[in-house]
Amino acid sequence: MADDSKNILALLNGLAKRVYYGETEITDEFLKQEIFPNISEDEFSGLVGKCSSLLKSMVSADMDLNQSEAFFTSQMKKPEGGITENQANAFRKFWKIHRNKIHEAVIARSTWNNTLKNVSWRIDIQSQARHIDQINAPTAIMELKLGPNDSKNSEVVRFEMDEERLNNVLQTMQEIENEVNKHCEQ
Amino acid sequence: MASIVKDAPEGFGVAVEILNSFNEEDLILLGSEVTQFLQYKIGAVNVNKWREKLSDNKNKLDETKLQSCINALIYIYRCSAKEKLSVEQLRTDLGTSIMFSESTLTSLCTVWSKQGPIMMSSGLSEHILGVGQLLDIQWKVGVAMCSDHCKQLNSPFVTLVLTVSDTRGNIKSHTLELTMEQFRNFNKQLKDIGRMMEMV
Repeated sequence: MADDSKNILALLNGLAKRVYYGETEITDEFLKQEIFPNISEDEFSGLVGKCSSLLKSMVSADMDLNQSEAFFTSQMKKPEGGITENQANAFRKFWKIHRNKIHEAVIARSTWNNTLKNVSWRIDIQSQARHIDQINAPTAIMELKLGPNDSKNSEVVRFEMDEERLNNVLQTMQEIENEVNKHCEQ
Repeated sequence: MASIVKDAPEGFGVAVEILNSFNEEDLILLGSEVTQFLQYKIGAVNVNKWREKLSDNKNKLDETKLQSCINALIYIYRCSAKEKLSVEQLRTDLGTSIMFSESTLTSLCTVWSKQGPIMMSSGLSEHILGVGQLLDIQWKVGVAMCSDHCKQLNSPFVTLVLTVSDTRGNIKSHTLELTMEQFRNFNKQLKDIGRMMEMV
């Protein structure tokens, strides 16, 4: 029962949903009912404890393929409290699917500044001008919705840019992109 | 309170001189069309149509000059909406300058008496008044190395501070943090805008 690969996979999915994807309504009781209705409470809580702690290690190290294989092997070799081959298979399958998604969720969770929630824009006519000929010049109006990752609150920032200003902005963006490419391998 | 005449952009006087040469009926129609344009009811004022209408057999009205007249009207009516001017206040403001002929003054005010109340109603004012300016962008690139949940975060991010002024001159700074993917997405949208602007 506790060894069944499919059930372990379901358990891992449930834990990921609760811990990393914010679905806090998934309780231990719910998981036991759905996946392991027939085992004892003790056995279940031991299983949850083991899966949670292994998951935590994998997430913390953001293990790649080699690291996770080495990890599973060492866990299988443990004389006590290790995992079975079937359980390792479940972990393998789970990690392949969820590794990146969980990593992104963890990154988002440690972003406490406002993020960009929405961008909309239109081309319009200029509202402020130094010369009468500029009054009908095209201008871009941008509306940005900013807010923290974990809440629905947002503020709206609206501004217009003429062609010159937009080109300056594009130049700045290019500068940033260049610096990032220089310093990071991504 | 801002003054339409005193704060006018360069070239305004020349444009008004040309407006003075239009007859009353034409000026009222042109002014009305400008207010329709400001209310987003029409996409643009049809320069060609007006060029035909306003030219006589001897001279064809120069397109640039006509556009500057239209722009002057756009300027006048947008300011009037922004300052929420009554017809009397508009007449007084414009009257402080000798550049407007009596007939022009009357025509401009006639249009405002009809269109002013509509343009100053709450729904429209936000669109018409224009928006603030982007004054400055400051930026920083960082890498989130680790956090309480993950010792190998390795996540590059861009922090931007946008300084924006609103139409009343208030300045406010806004901070935002973008992952590289979000930053590239944002950049792509800006490039799209650039392309669109070039086509206009």
